[in-house]
Amino acid sequence: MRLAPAYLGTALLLTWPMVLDPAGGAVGHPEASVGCHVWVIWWAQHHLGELQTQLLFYPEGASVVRLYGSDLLSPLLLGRLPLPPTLLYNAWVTLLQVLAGVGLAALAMDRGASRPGAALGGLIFQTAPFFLHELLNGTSEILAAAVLPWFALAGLRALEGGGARAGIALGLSAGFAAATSAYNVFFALLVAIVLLLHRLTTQLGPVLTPAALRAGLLGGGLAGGLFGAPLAVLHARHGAGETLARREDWLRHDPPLPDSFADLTDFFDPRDTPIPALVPDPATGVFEYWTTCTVYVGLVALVLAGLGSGRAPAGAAAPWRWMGLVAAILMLGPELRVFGEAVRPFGEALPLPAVTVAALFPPFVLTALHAYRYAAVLMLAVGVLAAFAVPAGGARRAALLGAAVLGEVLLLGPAAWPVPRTPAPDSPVLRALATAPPGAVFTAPIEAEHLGQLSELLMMQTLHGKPVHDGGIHHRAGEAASALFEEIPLLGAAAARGDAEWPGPEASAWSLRQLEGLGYRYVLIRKADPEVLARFTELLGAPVDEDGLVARWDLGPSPPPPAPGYGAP
Amino acid sequence: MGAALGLAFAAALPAPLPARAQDGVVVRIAVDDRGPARLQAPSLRLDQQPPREVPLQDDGQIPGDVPGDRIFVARAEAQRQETLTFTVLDGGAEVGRLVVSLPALGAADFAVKTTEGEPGLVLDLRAPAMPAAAAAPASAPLVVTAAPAGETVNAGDEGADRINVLMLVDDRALGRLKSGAEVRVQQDGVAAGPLLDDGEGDDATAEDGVYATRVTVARAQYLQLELWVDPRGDAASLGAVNVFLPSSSEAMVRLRTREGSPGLELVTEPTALGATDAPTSGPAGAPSGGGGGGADRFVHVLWVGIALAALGFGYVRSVVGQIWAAELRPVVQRLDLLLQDELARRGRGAGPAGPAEGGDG
Repeated sequence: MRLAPAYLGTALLLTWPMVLDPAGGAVGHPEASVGCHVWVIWWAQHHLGELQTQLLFYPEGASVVRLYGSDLLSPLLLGRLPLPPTLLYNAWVTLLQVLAGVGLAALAMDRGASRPGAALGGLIFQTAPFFLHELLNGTSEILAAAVLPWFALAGLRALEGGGARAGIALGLSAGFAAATSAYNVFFALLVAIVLLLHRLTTQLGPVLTPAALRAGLLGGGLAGGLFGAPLAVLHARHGAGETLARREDWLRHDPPLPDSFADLTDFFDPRDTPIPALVPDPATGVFEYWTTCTVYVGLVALVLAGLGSGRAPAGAAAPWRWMGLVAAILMLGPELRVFGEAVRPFGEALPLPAVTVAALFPPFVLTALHAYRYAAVLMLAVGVLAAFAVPAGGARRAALLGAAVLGEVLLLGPAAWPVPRTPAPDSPVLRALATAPPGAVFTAPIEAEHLGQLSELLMMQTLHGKPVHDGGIHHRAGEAASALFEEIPLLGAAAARGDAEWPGPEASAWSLRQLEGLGYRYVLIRKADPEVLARFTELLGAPVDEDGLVARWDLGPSPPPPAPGYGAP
Repeated sequence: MGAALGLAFAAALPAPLPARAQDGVVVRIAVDDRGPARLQAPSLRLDQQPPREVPLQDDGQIPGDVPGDRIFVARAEAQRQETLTFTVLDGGAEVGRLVVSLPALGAADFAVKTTEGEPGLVLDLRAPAMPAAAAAPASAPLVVTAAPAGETVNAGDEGADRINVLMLVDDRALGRLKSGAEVRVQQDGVAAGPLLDDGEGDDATAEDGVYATRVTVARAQYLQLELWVDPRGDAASLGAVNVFLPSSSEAMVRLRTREGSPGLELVTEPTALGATDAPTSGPAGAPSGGGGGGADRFVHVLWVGIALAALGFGYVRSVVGQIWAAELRPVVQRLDLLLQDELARRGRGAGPAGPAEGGDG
């Protein structure tokens, strides 16, 4: 724990300049999903317990667990603190980064690495380009892979007969992992399986000794009882089965989603991973895909892992080499790709082990769609191996290597630095709306499943607090929640991807009457889209309130008649 | 359509072109140069092996192109790969280059626009869809292309080659439809479907402004639907839309009347209701995940075998290594010491010993 301040300093450097104004915005790209996570914290502060909330997809509502339930722990922990949600989000991701560094250092020391080596390994894990890119993407639940070194440490101690203390540590770390990210369950399983199989194949004596079994049972019971069972029940009641069913078609995306595989060359490619990736979309031609990420390991980290692999005490490096290899193979996804092209010997795809794992262990498909995320496990292995590269007494060398790691990541790495931030909206209109009479808000344009606009919508809601018509990925919200988008032409147009075909005056007026009948009282139009602003000004007259961010109209008992000539073909 | 093909689009939609051989794909690229007006003699180079260069035209020769609108269009056949790199040239000088994804099936359209300065060329995400390249034949070949490549859709079974399509037309906002309205389908021998709002059959609620009808059509990749308001009186077509049909025996499509022309729009593409004839495997060439095919099973067995072999090898290696370390090596070391002693003793008795007799331990 003495290393924690150093890792905290590194985290603040990685998230720079967040520390200068930690409440003014959340770390992460404003076009990505950062705002969604900030919203979850805000929801926990004000509406915790309303798992099926009418705040989103009004009036049908949607399940918060279904939409944003991967990380359930942070809203529970942070929802009680009376601080701005952006500040809490920033504090959470910073804490995860510190946990990552300290955890890996502790694990590496426990496995025989020198203290400076372990510190270096922790730094490599903490600053992995993969995690920095996920920070940029706003997928904070992936940063929660920070708990993996703690889980591995507790698991190994339990296997080595560490007794009740190791069992409790195993249970808590496993529970923490599962509660902070659904992905962590799979990552932890992979870590546990590799470590156990390695032990079984290399230790001739009994591996599952009575002490190890007792610790394992205690840990399993604790993790299952305190965390696993409630989480399982919660997810089962909130669409886990449908998510599994939906993701079973992970192989049928054509072309495959850009994050369902890692190209073999990606591991060594320090070039920027552009976000968004443009993928073909049947509706609009091109869809902006915002969850792509780098899997670049880092040149210095890779060399150090190689060195450490050779210098490690006998038998200490092998499980981590295997772990890295297995994770990398899973990251390759369903078929091998090199230099951007699928390798198809004799014209046929060669299914990689990820396909076999999915066939033998169907829940794996929950993560297979984003297979590259197994980079978290790869970086765990790389960090431990790299820790063995520095001998005891090599503090100066470790410091120099640490500077090289940090320099490479910040200056040459594929993730943007200084990290962009998603600003907290500062809008007098939204603040005034917060005190206006109850009623739902129709906000336009919010393209369906456009993470950036969705993020902005939710950030705006943290200010005005009123129900909105959208609020998440439509298919996750469910058919009933998104039915209005098909029923009401104005909603459909506001959510259309690409060039929207807005309804004419008659259909617009009808749409507004329907919205009003459903309980909508306000229309907010983002100033960023002057064309839509002009359209609504023509439709509803001058706004009742406006500032630099939005213009607001109030829906009266009956909307005004359409302006003549509007919407003419 | 105004700038029509020019403004067109960025879609890697499977356009309604006849399917090509698996290694070829028809690509249409529209370059909007209305803003910067920097193109004089533009051409398009497909950066594949071998590279191909085709002129970018703005003379109305390519169907749908509006001559002289500074939206240049090229049509070419490319090799079907996952990605396609193309370069726009002007008088031989490079204006810009883009890498785009290609679909595994069908043709692909891309709309780009020129910019002043760098990068010279960007995807035009807001361009409208390109018009269809050619009238699609509604006969046999499309029956095959309706399903993913390599899949025969119940050939020889006439009943299975037809799709029952339920159409729901939402007229609540505009109230354009009256009794006698119908949907006509552009297929030979298919009668028009009368639109009813009587609360019977497929219509859930009487006089709610949502009309329903059903028609049974031959299986095809897509279908043109035309809405007629009053065919018996003053016949008036509100407009037509093309819809893609799923590979199922029954489908539902939702339409809506709209202001302007055409007076009909698609709310949702047809969704499958009945049994699906689509293959269980993924797209052409992609591995399937269900473990269904024989080849898949073989691969699964292979990977599991490799994993077990690795584990077995690791175990045997450990056993041998530990037996060596714990049992054999001490014995060998003791023997070696004995040998050294013996050699030393002989050396003291009979002079220096030859090196060949020494062990290395």
